[in-house]
Formats: sequence, structure tokens, C-alpha cells
Amino acid sequence: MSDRLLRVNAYTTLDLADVRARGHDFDVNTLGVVNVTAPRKNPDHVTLQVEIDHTTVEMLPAHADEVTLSASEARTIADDLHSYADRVENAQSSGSDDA
Amino acid sequence: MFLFLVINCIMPTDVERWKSEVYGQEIREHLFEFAEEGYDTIPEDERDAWFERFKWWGLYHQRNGQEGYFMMRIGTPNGVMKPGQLRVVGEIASEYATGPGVNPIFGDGYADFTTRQSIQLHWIELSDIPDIFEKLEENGLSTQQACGDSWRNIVGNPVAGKDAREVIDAWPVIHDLNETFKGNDDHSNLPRKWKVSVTGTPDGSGQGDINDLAFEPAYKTIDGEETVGFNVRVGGGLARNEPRFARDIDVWVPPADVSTVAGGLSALFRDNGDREDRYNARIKFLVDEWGADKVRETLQSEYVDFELHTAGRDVREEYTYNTGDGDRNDLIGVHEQHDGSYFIGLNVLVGRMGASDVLELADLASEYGSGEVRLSQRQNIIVTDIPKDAVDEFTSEQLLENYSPDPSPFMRGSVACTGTEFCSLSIVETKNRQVRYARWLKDNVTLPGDVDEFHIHLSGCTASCAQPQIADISLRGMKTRKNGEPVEALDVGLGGGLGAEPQFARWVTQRVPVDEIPGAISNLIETFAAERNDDESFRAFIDRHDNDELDSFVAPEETDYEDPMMHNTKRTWYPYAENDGLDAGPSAPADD
Repeated sequence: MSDRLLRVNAYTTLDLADVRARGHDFDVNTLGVVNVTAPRKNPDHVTLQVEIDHTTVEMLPAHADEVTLSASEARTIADDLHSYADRVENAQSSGSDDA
Repeated sequence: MFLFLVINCIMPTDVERWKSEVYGQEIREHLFEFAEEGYDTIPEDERDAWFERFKWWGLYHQRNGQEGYFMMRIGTPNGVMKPGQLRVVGEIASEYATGPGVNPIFGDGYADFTTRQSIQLHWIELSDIPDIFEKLEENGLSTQQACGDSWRNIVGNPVAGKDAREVIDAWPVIHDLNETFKGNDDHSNLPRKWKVSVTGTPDGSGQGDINDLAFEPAYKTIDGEETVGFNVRVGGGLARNEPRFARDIDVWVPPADVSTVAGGLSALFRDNGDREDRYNARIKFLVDEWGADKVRETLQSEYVDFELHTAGRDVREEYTYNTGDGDRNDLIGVHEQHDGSYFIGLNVLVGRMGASDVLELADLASEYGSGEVRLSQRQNIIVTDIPKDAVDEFTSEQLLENYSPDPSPFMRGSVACTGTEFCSLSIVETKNRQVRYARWLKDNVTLPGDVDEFHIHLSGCTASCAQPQIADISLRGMKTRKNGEPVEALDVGLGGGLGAEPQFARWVTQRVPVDEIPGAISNLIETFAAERNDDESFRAFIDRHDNDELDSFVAPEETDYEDPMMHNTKRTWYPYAENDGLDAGPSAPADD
């Protein structure tokens, strides 16, 4: 079995994330690593990385997915993350089930 | 200002820019100025740069929450500590390596012996560094280039010059390399670290395969006479999730030419290594790109002015060190020297020894031997030059009850990195955990009677400082969720080791909660004992099973082992503090 592809250390954004791998023939809830980074040399983009724990998803070969984002795209995602995080926190603090 | 802007534009990375401004020997002057004027005088916006530079002088700033405290690494070439030097380290550890956090197992004030035959001290304050350097240097010790982008501590068989088995004494070669390349301005700023191994014993104890540059004993017929020298391998290393074994570049060198060839390869790396991307900067990636033939051709055409010999007859088939088989997997125990006296390897569990024990051992080394000790790459310590008739008395000393020359396989096989106690990269607790694991395994698990050694290496992250890929059982820090709560966990790899046919561990099980690791190891060993063929080694047993089978053998399970550090120690200022929250950490130490 191959090693993890992403480095995992104290600078990794999330060393423990709940992830779901879904295909036409499979649907697996498992764990993974999520990281956000940018090149050290002349950074011109943001990279969002996700690696599913491959020992628990037999249908997929060991791999990591990377999304290349412009600064603007990264901020768009960050804005959405903030917005939905607020929504979740508000729902949790009010005890609402958002029905 | 104009020059600064130009440098800022052309330097590919922050680190390369910082290095271009101040690096190498000149860092010392600035370091001493900051020590004199106080930690707070390091401008906050320059701290990343200065901390990076301080590494060249063996200083790492400790983890988040331990502001103003440093780890100090003392480089002891080949692990050789001359008479009196161990006492100096013990005195420095006792006086300076104490801080606001107290370790529940090791107390306050201890020395760590590392996998590169060096020594690490913690809680060092900037204001104390000039005094510590003075004491070290008065006694022939140094922190120079113990870290940073240059020649690191040179490793090898620690008992070079003593070992009855050696075919060539590598110590004069190592000493010459150390004298030539430490403080050498032409080699002080390389693209990345440069790790060199030189070994003269046909046992593989220099672990050359995992170094950037390795000189291994080999025979060559020169003018009709068989001569002992070294074959050269390049491009080994474990880090970045991309481990490599060093590649044979088909070169043999006599001892007299080692320095020239080593300098040529260091210069080749300096000139051709990737300074654009630090993660790609190690020479192993250059060897990937070029191939061994091109490395040799370039060395020959551009960096040496004599005809290189082709490789000689190696002795790799005789290697046993860290192979999981054979009679010398480490250097623990009583071994004969070529002069008829003995060296005795003592097990220092996870490489950590309290300062008072360091001082006591220094006294014993003087009382029974020459006072000299050596450090091994398995974090152990070796006392040399003990006369035959003093061996029994020495091994009966009370101190050796804790540093045994004949320990349990689980104690002698344990290697661990620094972990979240001090390290900025680690995501789990390591040293104390490996101590707990080893003690539990010793009390609860029985290996087959013919298995004397069993290597378990625990690394806190993917940086591989505990060399996890070359152990029987490899453990590496992760997180998982247990009963809905995030807890520290470990990935598990199996079957790594060195030797004539080295191999990296196969990672078979991910995110095992740390309290289920002892049960997993117990179940694995039970299966091994029950299903092995005759006297099959653990590594051979692992080799003949596929990953799914191995995963099923691991079988994590709770036992009566209890782990007090299940919580996220990365989020503490010091894992063992009563109030361990990051916001409860100490402020930077006040200036004296």
C-alpha cells in the first residue's frame, strides 16, 4: 500500500476531516486530509488539496485531488465558507433545526 | 534599498533571500548581539528570517507556545565524544536545559541523543548562548552547521577505529571531512541540507543508504593489489513522503581522495540543486532527474581533476545493521575492540537521558574506560575502551539498570523523534508515548525465543526524523475520531529495514487511535509467532503477505494500556503542563 501523498504536519490545515467518496457504484464516508497552500516562489495561485484515506476506499487508487484557484476564486470560496459557517453556528446556537 | 529590492525580486524563495543577506559564519555575530541585547530586540517581522539563520548554528526556535526558547543541537562527528565531553554536555544540560515545563518521565534537564549521532538540548535561552558556546568550544564541541542548509553532522559506524570488525578505519576520513567542510565558505550555503555517511565496517551501521552522500567499504584492485576504500552512493533520504535509497554512481575512492570527491559532489549539489523549491531541493530529486550516470559524468568532467575509478567490490551482502536479521542489528551489548578491550552499547530508551545520569555515566566511562563515549544512529550510547576484566563490574553498575546492555527487544528497538513536546512540525506526542509503549510491550508481549531485536520507530509527522520507514513497525503521527472526539492516532507501516536489499515499510493501516496501538502490535506479533515459517524473520514474514492480509494482522484493540495524551497535544503550549492551553504558555524569558 502506498504512502500518503500529502505531507501531514502541524502546518497542515486539517489533519482530520470527515470526507465522503461518492461514485455511481460506491458511497463511502471516511476520513481525510485537507490542506490549503500556495507556492513559495512567486505565488500566483492558491491550491486546495484533499486526500482521502485510501485504506478505507477500495474503489479508488491512492490519490490526492488538487484544485488550483486564483486569489479571487480562493476568496469566493472563503466567503462561502464563512457564510455557511455563520449559518451553521447560528443554527446551533439557536437550537433550530432550520426546518 | 535598491540592492534589497533587487535581491527581493531575484531570489526564488524567502529562505534563499534570507540566506543571501546573512548566512554561514557571519550569523554568529548577530546571534551574539541579540543574546547581549535581549530576545525582544529581534524585530518581530524579522524573526522568521533570523530563526532560519540560527539553524546554521544549531538552534531551532521551539514550538508555538514556547516563545523565546530554543533547541540546541550539538554535532558530534560520527558520534565520537572524546574523554570529558560527555561531562560537559551533562553540565550544560543541568545548568541551562531547564524551562517552565517539566516532563513527567524525564524531569527537568535532559539530553537527547539523535538518529544522526548528535545531541539535542531544550529550553535554551538566547542570553545563555554565548556562555554555552564558550564552554562547548573550550572542550572541542560545536553546534556549527548542526542544522541549516549545509554539511550536517557526518555519521557512520560510531565505533570507527575501535571495532574489531572494521576493514578500514573511517574515523580519520570523517575527521578530515569535518575539518574541511565545517565553516567552509564554498560549502556553507547549499540548496538544502547535506547529509553524509562514511563507514569502514561491513555491517551497514553507517546507514549510508538513507544519506545524501554515502561512502561504503569496498575493495578495488589497484596496480595488482587489492585495496580497501569506499564505493560512493548518492541521493538517499527519507523526508517529504518520497523516500529514496542512495543510488550507486559507480565510483570507488581511496581514503586519500574522499575529501576531493565529497567536495566535488557537494559543489555539484550547490550548483545544480533546485533553489526554486525547497521541497524539491534535496539531491535525491536531482539524481531522479539526471540519473546516476549523469551525476558521475558531471562529477568527472566538472568537479574532479583525476580519473575516477569505477566501483569496487562491495560488502553489502554482509550488512546486518537494522536489517531485522543477523547478529548485529544495533550496537547494544558487549563487543570486542581490535585492541582487545571492549565497547559496550547501552540502551537509552528513545535516546533521552537525564542530566544527572549523563554526569554519572561520564564518571563511569572515565572510571572503567578511557572516558570516551560514542553515539549511535539508534539513539543509544556506547562506552569504549573497557578492559576485559572490568566488563562484568561495569555492566553491574546500578546506573545500567536503566541503560541496559541487554535490554528487552522492545526497549532496545524503540526510536522516537521529539514530538509535540517541543517540535513545530509534529502533530502527536512521541517520546513519552514510545516509552509507555515499550514498557507495556515488555510486560505483556512475548516474541518468539529466537527474536532478540524488534524495531519500532515513532515519528510525529511525515518529516521522518525517527526514520519510521526503516523499522519493523513504523508509526507516524495522525489524528482520528474516537467516540466522537478527535484523538491522536498513528499510521502503521510494516517491514522496513536496511541491508543488502533495503526496503521501506509498507503503510498498511491508517489512523489507529494511540491507545489501541499496543493491542495492535500484540495481535500482530501473535500472528507472526503462530504463522511464521520455522525461524523466519519478521521482515521476511511481512514480505510474503499482501497489504490486506497485513491490515488484518494489525487488528487495533483496546487493552489495559492507558494513554494520558489522547487529546490534541498540538494545541497545548506544553503537553504535560497542568494548565496546558496555548494561551497559558509562558512569556519569553526575561533577559538576565
